[in-house]
Amino acid sequence: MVIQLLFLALCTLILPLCLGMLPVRFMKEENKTFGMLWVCGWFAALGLFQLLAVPFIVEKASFSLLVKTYTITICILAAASVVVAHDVVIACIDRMKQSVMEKSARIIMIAALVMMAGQIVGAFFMQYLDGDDAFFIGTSLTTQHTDTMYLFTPYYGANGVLDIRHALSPVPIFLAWLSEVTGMHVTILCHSFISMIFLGLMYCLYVQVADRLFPLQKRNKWLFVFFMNLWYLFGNISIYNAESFAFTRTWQGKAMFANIIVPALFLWIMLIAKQEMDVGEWLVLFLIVMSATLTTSTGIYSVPILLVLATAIIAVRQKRYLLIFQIIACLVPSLFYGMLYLFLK
Amino acid sequence: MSEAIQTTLDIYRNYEGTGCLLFLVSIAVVYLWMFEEKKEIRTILVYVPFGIIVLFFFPVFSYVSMRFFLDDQVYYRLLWLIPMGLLACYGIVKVISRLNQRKKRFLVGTLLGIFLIGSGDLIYANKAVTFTQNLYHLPPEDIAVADVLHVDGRDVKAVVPAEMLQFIRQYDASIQLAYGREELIEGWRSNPFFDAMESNPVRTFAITDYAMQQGVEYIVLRSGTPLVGSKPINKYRFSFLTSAYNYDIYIFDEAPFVEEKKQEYLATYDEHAYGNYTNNN
Repeated sequence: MVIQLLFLALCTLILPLCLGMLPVRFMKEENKTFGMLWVCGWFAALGLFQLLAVPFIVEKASFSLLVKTYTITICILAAASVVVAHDVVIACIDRMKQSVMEKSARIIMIAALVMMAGQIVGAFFMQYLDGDDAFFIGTSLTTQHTDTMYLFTPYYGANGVLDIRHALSPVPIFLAWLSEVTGMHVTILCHSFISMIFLGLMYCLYVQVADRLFPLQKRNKWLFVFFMNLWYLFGNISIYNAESFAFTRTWQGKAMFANIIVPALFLWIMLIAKQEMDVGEWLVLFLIVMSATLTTSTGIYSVPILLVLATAIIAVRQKRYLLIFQIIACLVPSLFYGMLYLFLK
Repeated sequence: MSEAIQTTLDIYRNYEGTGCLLFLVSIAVVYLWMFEEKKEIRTILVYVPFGIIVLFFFPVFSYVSMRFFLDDQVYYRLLWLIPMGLLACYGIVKVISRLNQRKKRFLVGTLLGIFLIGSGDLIYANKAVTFTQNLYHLPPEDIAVADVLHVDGRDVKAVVPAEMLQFIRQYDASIQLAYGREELIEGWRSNPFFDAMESNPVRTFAITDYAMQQGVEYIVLRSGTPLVGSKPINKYRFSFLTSAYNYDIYIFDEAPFVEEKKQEYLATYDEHAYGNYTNNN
């Protein structure tokens, strides 16, 4: 188990940090933080997986071939990222050193971090028996067992035809890949560990959002994070809202969409509105859209709605009409996978 | 179109719960619209969410979305595009930060925090959220039964009680089932084998006949399940293998791995056992 946990830490902490170096290297100075490295690295890992996995799935290639291809590709990319952009780490350290915090802000920060840690630990010890896992985790395990992707029904294991609707959003295959490379049973991986990691990723995104909402007011920044913790903890108001999904189905694509993709999109919309977009930021926005298509077919449809609406408002209010074309370029993954679905269904 | 409007309203009502937290979001949006100084923040946190909510309720949009892109079961996910927590919490912090005195800030912050807590529901208070008993976060009885069914190097086919359908293949995908989770969801599928397994009492001929037709090698029954028929289950070529938690596991006498399993469960294997059987002829 110790070795499995080390591999898990390597794949979910170290690897995203390395992958994030490349895009963050080409970002504005204020976006060069360790949080952004980790967040952007995750979107790079997820986006690249979507890019590689879908052709393998549609062509009915074996899962083991995808595992090899993706593992080699991502390792090369991470290594290249470190070689080309390792100096970004110095920029992140410098930025961290510049951060001065008064005592009251520090107290609020500690309270917020304790609450966060409590929820992350809670995800390990608490369980919610969700019926949809029969599909999501069933798909991951069936994929590993049969060495095929979306060709067997996860509910009872019979051979079937390619399930194209789900095949275009292959989060379960990504989790099966993680299970393969860590050697951990995918159910343990998702229910005990991915739930913790994705909650951490979600709060890391909200800390980035807080940084942009309150760039100079550390106390307000951490107060916002503190209230976000409360909001999520007490957000179990129905079975449909994003907050309930965050705790009960963290590893499922739809929960990832609601709690990781949407906050990330708002963070990026904020960067667009504040005119803080450089090459790195645009690249990551493209990767976020790609990751959104990975998480759920809902993402293919709803991400363009959000991004087009937001940029149209920003473009009109700020008279920056070029934005519309830049956003359409970032939406290519949504348009492509949407058309692919219509073509293949 | 009117159906789309009604569906949209129903979806919203189901989504909002008691409505208190969404009321807080609405207040926050109005507050930010009136008092937020930074134009770009107002654009993102007021106009964009407002645009999404207008689209959500706009009948033509909801009709087209439900008809062509998302079905009505998942239309609620459009509401996820509004970052409600972000809006409410930003509004709360803005209210607090406008106050000059530290005591006032603390008092208002505490009151708003209490309102938030009182309006919501703690995730851990949800009855469906429980302490886990294993790293799999699966019912231990499902794991125990799956361990009995497992045969190294090959797939097996089993039929299990309804409560196990969702979990057993999350533990071991080499266990194929005669039917799956679809049987639990109204309107998805209807399988006569499922009906036979879940009837009370269970008819021995019906379940063993379906099992043999579909190549099922194990029948798992809740211990004490009343069985009726002209013959007991063991006379239909399914012998009692063992019990795990409160489940009795019967193995098909002609399964290729039957000898291996007999050896493994020598102490409990009993070809004469027939459970809670009553001859109703």
